[in-house]
Amino acid sequence: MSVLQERSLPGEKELVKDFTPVPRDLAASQRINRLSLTYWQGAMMTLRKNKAAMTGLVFIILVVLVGIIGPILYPNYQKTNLLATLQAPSEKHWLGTDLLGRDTFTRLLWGTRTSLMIGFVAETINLVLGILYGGISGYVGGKVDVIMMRIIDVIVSIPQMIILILLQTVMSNGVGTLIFSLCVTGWAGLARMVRGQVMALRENEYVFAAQVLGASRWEILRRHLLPNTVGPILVNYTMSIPGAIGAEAFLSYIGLGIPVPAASWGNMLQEGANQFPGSLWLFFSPAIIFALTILAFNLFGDGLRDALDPKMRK
Amino acid sequence: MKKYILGRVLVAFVTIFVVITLTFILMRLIPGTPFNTGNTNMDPEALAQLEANYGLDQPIFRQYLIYLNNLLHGNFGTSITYTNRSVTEIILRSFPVSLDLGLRAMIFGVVAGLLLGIEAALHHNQFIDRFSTVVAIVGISVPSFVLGTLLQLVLGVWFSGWIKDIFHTDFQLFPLARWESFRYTILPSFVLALGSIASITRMMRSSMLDVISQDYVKTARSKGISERTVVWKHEIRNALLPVVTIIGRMVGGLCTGSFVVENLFAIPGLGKYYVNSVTARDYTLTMGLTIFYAIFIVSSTLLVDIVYCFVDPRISLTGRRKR
Repeated sequence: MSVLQERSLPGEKELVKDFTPVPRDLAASQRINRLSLTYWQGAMMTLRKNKAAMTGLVFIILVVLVGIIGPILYPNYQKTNLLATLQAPSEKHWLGTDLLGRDTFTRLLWGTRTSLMIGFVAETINLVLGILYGGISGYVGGKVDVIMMRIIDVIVSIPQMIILILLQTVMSNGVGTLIFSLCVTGWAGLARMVRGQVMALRENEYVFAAQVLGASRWEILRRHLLPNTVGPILVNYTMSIPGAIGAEAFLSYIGLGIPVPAASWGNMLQEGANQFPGSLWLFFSPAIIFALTILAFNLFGDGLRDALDPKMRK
Repeated sequence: MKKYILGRVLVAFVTIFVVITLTFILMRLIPGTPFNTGNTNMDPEALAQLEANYGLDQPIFRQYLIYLNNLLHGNFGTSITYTNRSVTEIILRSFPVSLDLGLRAMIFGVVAGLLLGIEAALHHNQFIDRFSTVVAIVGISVPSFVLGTLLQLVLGVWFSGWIKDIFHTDFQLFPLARWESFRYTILPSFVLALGSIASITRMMRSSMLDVISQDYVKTARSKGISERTVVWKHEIRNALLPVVTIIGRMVGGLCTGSFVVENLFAIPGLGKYYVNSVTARDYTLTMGLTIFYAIFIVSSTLLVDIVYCFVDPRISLTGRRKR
């Protein structure tokens, strides 16, 4: 308003004369004060600020290290000592001994290795299968997609625990069977998600541009579609590992998973529950580390999902 | 809508058929017959007689057809370990117990989960919200068998011992095992429900928070509609929709949970029979119960999906449920 009023004043020309432009500092205006972040840098920053998620990540790394190094340092997980059965925690046996006098601490280290291995290996296989199936289905589209998705519909509807129990009954119990049965149907959910993402992304202009420039289908899938679906896939992967670890524990607990001379969190829990309500350390040592690990994966997964979702960023 | 429902029904039927075929093939892959597992003491003539009795002397394909035909007539086969008891009889006798347990857990889980989720969202970042987060986290990371054992120890053993010391009675408020009167059902139902409470609380909270920030809620409030009506009619009603889908998927989780809980609390339900049949290598019982569970879980998920389709007409238009 005031500018307009001044303009309408009669001495306008004199005012203009007084005006001296401020010299422009080209170098200064080019300077970028705020860090420019790529999508991933931003996501990592948000993630790093999330205390719960970082605690989860640190715990996961610790448990993984324990699972790798622990069994090397304490190799005698099968050594029985019938003179020292069901001992309470002491200096010699940090977490006591079980029914056959085996050291619970050593078995816990081996159990950590077994359980984590099942979780990581099974879900990594599911990851690869799911990406391949979903990627192909979403990218090829048309009739192939319809058929592939109907198959997924059926596979997803089969209750997973039925597959788990059935296969444990028919095949010999052990780590291999368990991983196999987790992978029979486990990839379907991820495949469906990847397919949805790819379907949405392939409508984008840059994919069309790549096509026009003569990129092959495989190249478009690899260079454009998959990198852009990495976020949700990563979240799905993180969240599915506790599921696989939990499935092992469930099966071993009802007596189907990992047979006893080997150690896993599940069969240690079962052994502990059998001694219940005496010798509580047998039950609680695997129970606590098991629950904390599942918790850590969930916290980290939640944090990762929030960090990768641009809508959640402030 | 018709097309969507028809498609879902078709998928459900194919799923059940696939499970039946898969179960049949897998069970036949086990070397030998159930009566001939390496022990040669048996009189071959008696063995042949037994196998003929169970139809095991027929060619595989014929056995498959006979099995399918039997299933259609509600005949799930005969148990091997429980002599002369048919699988159907076992199902009829123990499934009601499991259903009872499952329904209690489901009702408790849904009610508690919804209440917690709604309260948490209405008092965002206050005490109740933090409490609901803790419940959700515990429910997700502590499996039912750990929680069950813990509660048995604290409430069943320590609490009862304490009661006994003070009041000199043997009365147990939370008995450790069996399935008789109401107080026997409290602990198992709670343990079984915790997983559902956790997932429903989480889902309801985020769905509710989502709805609260919507424009139509602000509009309703600025129009001067009473707070109560806004919460009930605009917020809760709309926030409930996505949560309904979870209830269908809960059935599978409750079945899995019941395997553990029934064993833990010695409840004579179907889950206990299922687990025992697997460990006892009672193939016909495992097979029958696997198929029964598959039919049960698939059809209840289907039912919820169809109901959901009527509740929220959007999904049948887009054809696929959005996640």
